Amino acid sequence: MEIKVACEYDIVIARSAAKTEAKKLGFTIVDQTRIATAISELARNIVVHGSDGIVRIEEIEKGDRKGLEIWAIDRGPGIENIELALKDGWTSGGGLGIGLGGAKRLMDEFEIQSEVGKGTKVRVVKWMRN
Amino acid sequence: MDEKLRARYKEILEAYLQHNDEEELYKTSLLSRELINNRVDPDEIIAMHFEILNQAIKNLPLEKMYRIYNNASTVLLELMMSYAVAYREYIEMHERLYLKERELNDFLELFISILSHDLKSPLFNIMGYNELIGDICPDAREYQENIRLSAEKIQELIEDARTYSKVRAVEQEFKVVDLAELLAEVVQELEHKAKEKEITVKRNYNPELKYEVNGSQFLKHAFLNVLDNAIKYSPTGSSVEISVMNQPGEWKVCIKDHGEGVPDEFKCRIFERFVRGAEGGIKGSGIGLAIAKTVVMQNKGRIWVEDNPEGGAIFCITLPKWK
Repeated sequence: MEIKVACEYDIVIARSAAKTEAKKLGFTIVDQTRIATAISELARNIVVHGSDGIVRIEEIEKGDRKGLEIWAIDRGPGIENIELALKDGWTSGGGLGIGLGGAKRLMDEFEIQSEVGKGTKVRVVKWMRN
Repeated sequence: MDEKLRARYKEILEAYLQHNDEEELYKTSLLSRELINNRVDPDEIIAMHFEILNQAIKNLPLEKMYRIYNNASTVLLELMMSYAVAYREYIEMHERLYLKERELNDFLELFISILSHDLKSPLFNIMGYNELIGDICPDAREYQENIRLSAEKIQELIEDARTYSKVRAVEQEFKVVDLAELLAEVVQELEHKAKEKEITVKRNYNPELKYEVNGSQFLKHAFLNVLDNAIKYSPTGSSVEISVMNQPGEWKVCIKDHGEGVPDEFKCRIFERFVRGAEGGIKGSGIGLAIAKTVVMQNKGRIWVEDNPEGGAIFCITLPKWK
């Protein structure tokens, strides 16, 4: 499933979609909230930096484990110092939300690629507890 | 808690209970950081949630009440989730700032230790040779006295700077301290200074009693500096009075002088570094009261200055009683 993200209301749609998927897979309400909170942040990053992008939500499997994989991809300004962006959620990025570091904490896997002037790709995964 | 934040949460919660709209949950996650910025405790948030909720479900049938409770918990969970993550970030930011400050303090410590070490021996040379000048050249006695006073000021400044960096940098150890005993030591150490100015130090408490606090090894410096300050700014021949008062949970020590007093605009700032009293005739490094404040804060007490109705200042220090 792919959701276009260009304005604040798209964040709500992305959250809602991810939660529906998570619920279908059998994630607990706490994990559903974790996923929603992380997505809020990733999607917000797209909107706050004035670009547009997409959030892609997919069910994945590894062995007998099921999980939810979420991509947030934008064509924004990119991040020059990723390490700092992960650490510095509090002081940058519009003053609200929990930052990229917070999103990382809520999920089981977190990967980020970014190129200045081209955009940013973030991939996060939450695995079901067996 | 800030009424505006409370009103916003109420609005979100009520809207969610009506429409179960995801947008309200998103708004909740945005609210979390503001709650942290406003230093709202998790306990307070939970209390606020149930207060609003209980108002909303009053007079409803039990079954409906249960459903609403369940539904509302989604909003609280959303809020607390973002709160927890943001709170952790907030703490980490403070840890980073703390480490930065520590680094700066370490540097300051090193700087002061080099400064004091390297200044001390030339200073002693100046003082030593100055003594000799008087013998060789009796006409220079007046200058010699000025040199001596200046050298003493430098010496005091170095000592104060060392103490200041020490009380900030060295790990504190706390033990039971009797204020009567401590004040006796402080008075004894400053006796010569008081005598020089013919100042009587009166003690307005019963030295036979115990006034116990959980004090750090630097606590004495707080009283030394405040009393020293009182003596410095007192006119010759006047008196300084120390009293200890029993207050619920704490001892209050007051040091009253009959000097010029502290103008209102200086009453807070006087405890910052390098802020001094009246122009001219200044005798301190400007660090003494900053040392006192640092130490008092470390000992979980309070320090402030009031006007002495008879003219002059009253420095007050409170310290929690030893339990």
